[in-house]
Amino acid sequence: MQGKVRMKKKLSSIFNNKTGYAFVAPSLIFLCIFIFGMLIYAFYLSFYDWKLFDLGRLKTFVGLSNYINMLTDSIFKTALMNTLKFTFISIIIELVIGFFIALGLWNIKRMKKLIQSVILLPMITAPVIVGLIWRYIYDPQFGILNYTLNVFFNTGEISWLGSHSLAFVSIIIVEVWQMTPFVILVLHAGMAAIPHENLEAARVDGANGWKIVKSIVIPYIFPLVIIVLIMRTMDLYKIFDTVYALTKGGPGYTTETIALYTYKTGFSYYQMGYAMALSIVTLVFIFILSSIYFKKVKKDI
Amino acid sequence: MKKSVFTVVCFLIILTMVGIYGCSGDNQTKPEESNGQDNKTEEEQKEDVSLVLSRWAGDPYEAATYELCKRFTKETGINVEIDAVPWENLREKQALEMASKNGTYDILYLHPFWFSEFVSNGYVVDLTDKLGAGYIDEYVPSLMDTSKADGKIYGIPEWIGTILLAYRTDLFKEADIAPPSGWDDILNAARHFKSEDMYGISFPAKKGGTLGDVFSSLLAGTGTWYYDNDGNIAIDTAQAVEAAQFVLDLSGYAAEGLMNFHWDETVNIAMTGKTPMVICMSSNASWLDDPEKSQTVGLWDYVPLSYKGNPGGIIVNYTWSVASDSEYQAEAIDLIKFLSETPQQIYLTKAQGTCGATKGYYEDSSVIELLPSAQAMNQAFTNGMQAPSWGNWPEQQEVLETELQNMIADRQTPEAVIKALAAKMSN
Repeated sequence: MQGKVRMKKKLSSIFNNKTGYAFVAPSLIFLCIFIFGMLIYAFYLSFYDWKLFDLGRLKTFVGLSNYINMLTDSIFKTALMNTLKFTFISIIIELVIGFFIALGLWNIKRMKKLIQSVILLPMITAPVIVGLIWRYIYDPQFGILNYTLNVFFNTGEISWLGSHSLAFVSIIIVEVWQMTPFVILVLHAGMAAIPHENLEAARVDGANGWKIVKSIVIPYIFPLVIIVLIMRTMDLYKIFDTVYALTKGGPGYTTETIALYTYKTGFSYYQMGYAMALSIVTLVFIFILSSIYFKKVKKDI
Repeated sequence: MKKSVFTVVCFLIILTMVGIYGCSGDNQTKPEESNGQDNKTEEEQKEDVSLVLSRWAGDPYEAATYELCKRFTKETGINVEIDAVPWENLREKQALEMASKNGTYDILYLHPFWFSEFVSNGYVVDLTDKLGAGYIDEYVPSLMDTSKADGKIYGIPEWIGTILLAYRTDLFKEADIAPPSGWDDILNAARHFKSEDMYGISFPAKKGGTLGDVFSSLLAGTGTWYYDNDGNIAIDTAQAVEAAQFVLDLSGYAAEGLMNFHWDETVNIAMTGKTPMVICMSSNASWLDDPEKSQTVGLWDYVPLSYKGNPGGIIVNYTWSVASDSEYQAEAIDLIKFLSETPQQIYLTKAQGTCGATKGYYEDSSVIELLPSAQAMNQAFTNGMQAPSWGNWPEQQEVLETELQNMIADRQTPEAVIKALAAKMSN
């Protein structure tokens, strides 16, 4: 009985808010067509063996084969491990560096705006451009990095992107360089929003330096840290442009990531069915990771 | 009030939908729909024709095509629009446009990777009877063959190139070493020149095609290939292992970072005088003698990558084809013929260092002057194999290049590289 009443109330609220729903409708329609529609189609295609160019031909239904093949696909496993390692390491470095720079910015009084603008420059540059810039910085013969290291430490020609041991680290450095400003921006905004009275009160109570950071700043910005974690995890899990511009996944498979492997499968090997299955698995992974984070946010807020 | 807002919003949605539909429609005017065409002169009608040409983006190649199309427009009055997209997206873009049968393109610049696929899908016009009597006799037969399928002509070859060895004549003369005529010579010279200030050799070993092309050239030189004449896998041979071993041996004397070198990085090292030898594409070889780019102008000579004295290599080319759904097929044929003729090809040699496919091109004395590598290219074509272009080559190439890179990093043996490739090919 109660359920019926609740349903009735819900329906009447929908009818009473017709105007609101009408305004939302265009975006909802587009969202349904271009996001959910495409996702459903991708999911449907993942059960077929189909080449991109066979547009006019019948697709062969292969059931779960594409998903089962992933279990024995060693490149997929390597790419998945690389992506997870890459995500985990980059996020930790970005958070630590970002937090301390944001803290520094929060404390300085002069030229704050200028420093903020300069810090944000890498973030607003397109990843492919960043990739190309760093390709020249890393160049073993003519790059500025080796030149500088040689002047001070006589290190010789280091092959940053052409070496199995350094290529992975080199890509992490680029990603950290580009996206730490985002972390700084968000955390600094959080710090700036801390009420002045709380800080004053802490100071009156004799707290200073690290104690204020530990007891006031960190708890205050914690929800923002989770937001940063969600956004950066989703971003890093999909990393493509930088790797593509710098190494194309090489040497060997040392910098192969899930997004790059999916792209190659779809647009170099043209196995769209398998590429769609890879995309769906990526989506599920991101969904699971984000859900964990969101749960944490709900709990903490 | 609420009702009227609701009505307005619904109206806006409908308007948006209609707008999208209108924009996505075929906006090209069909000849039978255009009134007054009959009253126009032939020249005026040609001015109404606008051909759309699809090719990959990037200079100097794209700019050179623009220039030639401008000349064509000046000569004929036919407008040409170029749709240039990054190489990586070209096949996908062309295939999707052709499959959707929108008539978007009139002329397609096809790589051998997808040429046969386009032919079998009926995306390109059979030109066998449309080029005019005796027209194909003007072309070098082996090069013309690259644009044929089942004995029929589906395009005109262009952008002819191969992989060569460029060596510094001054340094070789100084060291009293003869020009390399085999793999052993190359290795010995690399060993001789390798020092603190100089690498022994420079060659590209990045994934994405370059390393695969170097290996294929070496393989072609041995007289063996990935498949035999009957289409059976023929890669698991001693010669293939020897070719992989040669790549490994050479890497010991090569420039630091070669596993991230594409053709441009490889040739950059040679242009700055840091290596006496470089394995490069013939199109990039011209950079070595470009006074604006190179510090080593006039110091290079070229030889094919010979195996035990036998020159060999791969033929790299593109094909100009006419789209089967083009409205203006006759005009499109005129354009591809124009682009492939000797004078235009000589212009392209100057502009981008590539070669033409006509007999006249190779008989032209200015070509030899323009292109010091022309003779070496001709030798390489003698035992030349067309660069791998079968449908699943990209996947096989990925395995080959990854395993070769692992081998260079001492994580794999040459035998294992070939075994892995053979396994992939038979999968």
